[in-house]
Amino acid sequence: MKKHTIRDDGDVTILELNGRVMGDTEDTALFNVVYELADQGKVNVVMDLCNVEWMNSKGLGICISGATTFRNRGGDLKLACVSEKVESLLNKTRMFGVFEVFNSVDEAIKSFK
Amino acid sequence: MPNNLNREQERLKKAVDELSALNQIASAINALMSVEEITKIIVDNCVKRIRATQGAVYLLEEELDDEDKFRTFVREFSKSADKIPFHLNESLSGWMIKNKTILVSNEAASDGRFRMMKLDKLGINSILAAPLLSRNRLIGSLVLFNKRDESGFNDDDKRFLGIVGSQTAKVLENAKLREQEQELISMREEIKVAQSIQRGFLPDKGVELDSCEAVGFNTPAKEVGGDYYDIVRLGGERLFLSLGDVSGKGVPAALLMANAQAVLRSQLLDSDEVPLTRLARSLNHLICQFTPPEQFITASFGIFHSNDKTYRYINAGHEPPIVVRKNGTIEPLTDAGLILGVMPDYEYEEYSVKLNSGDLLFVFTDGVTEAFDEQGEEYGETRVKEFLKKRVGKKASEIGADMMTELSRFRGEGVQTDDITMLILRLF
Repeated sequence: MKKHTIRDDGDVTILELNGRVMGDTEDTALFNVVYELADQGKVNVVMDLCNVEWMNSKGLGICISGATTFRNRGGDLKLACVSEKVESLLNKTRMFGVFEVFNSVDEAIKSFK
Repeated sequence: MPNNLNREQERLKKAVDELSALNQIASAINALMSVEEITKIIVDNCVKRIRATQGAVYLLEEELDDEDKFRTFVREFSKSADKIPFHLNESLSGWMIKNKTILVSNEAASDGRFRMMKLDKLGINSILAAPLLSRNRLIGSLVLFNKRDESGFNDDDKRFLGIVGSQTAKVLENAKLREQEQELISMREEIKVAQSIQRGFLPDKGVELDSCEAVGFNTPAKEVGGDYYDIVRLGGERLFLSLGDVSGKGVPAALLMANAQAVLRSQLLDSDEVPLTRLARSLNHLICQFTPPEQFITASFGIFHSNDKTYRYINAGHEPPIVVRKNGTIEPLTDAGLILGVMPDYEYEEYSVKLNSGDLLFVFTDGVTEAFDEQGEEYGETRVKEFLKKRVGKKASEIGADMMTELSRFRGEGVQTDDITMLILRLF
């Protein structure tokens, strides 16, 4: 399965991830995806995690990097549709206060409008 | 007849000359020479023999980890102090990659292949280049510039350079591979040194007070790891415990880890009365300031006070430490603050837990809970808790060693993907 797909909904960009986000080589490429989006001026980004059952601290690093990059350019990274495992990671690391997290991708998109 | 004889003699003489020149090159090169030494011999001999003014070897360097496999870097080994301009060796190499054959141009300045190169301004009027082919793969080219005779490079020159090119490509490639191997070996040695330095940072022995004992365990997944633990005996029968997990693995994580530990230790050395909240603030500031946003640390550290048997601690987004009471009751310490390195002004809070004789405190990184078996199932918190329940009353060092055995048994043939680190405090 392809690791990520990108689509636009108005001026919101949806970055959909698949599988486990564990900071392996393929995930490291996501850092570049973040920078490329920012360079194209796409800074309102929803990370669709519906198909991500698992994420570890390296995966979280990618989210933090994304949020920082987009916020520095006047946008944001919002998380949508997190699994139980991802939720527990966000809880433990107390990152719920740092990211806006939504139950569905649609809600996350709406929050930008 | 005498004419024929003369011609034959002339031909033989030339052949012998050529052979002896080739022999000279072959005997000057030995298998242990560097790429630079070998190219120098080849270029020197060819320039002399063919009567050119300048020569160079361009080696193509493939970037194997690059997506674009055809992108090449050219390493130049030129005899002359006058460097050939980069755009020229690039376009020569480009031509060679496409054609893989001998190139001769006796009117280089007007040659369409080198349009835009302004060769006359560079003082180049003729070029002879031979491909360096090893097992049919182009590894570079051998190039001569400016034949001293008016007539330019001739067929004999072409043949000679062609032979040298085909005979030396293999030797050059071997030398190149040997250099790469050497680099790899020295890199491995450096990593070994880094590993032993890092090992030295972690206290290898446990610490014992009248009221308790503490011991730490660490097995990195790679040569150098991103986890750390520390145990420091403080005045007044107190024990400082800390354990952290740096995001990422390998050398960058290890460097940040060493820094974090140094910050904590140096502040404790200044004054062992320093409040935990201040330790957290300094560490957080340091990481926010000096690392990219994706790099952060989760850590849990605290001080056990023997006099009131209380553990006062900070948790910066780390796995909740587990208290195991003497009767087997499990109490995860879920109070926590944000991970370190995300918000520079974050205020950390200090929490405390009262411990009693016979109780255990287990602090660990997610390498323990996220050990995977061959089917991809994780070890998980439930198993950790079950394991600890059964270990009440055992020595801290035995519990740690048992846990390491348990995890490697659980993993089976599966690989260790993350550093495994734990600290165990046991009250007598």
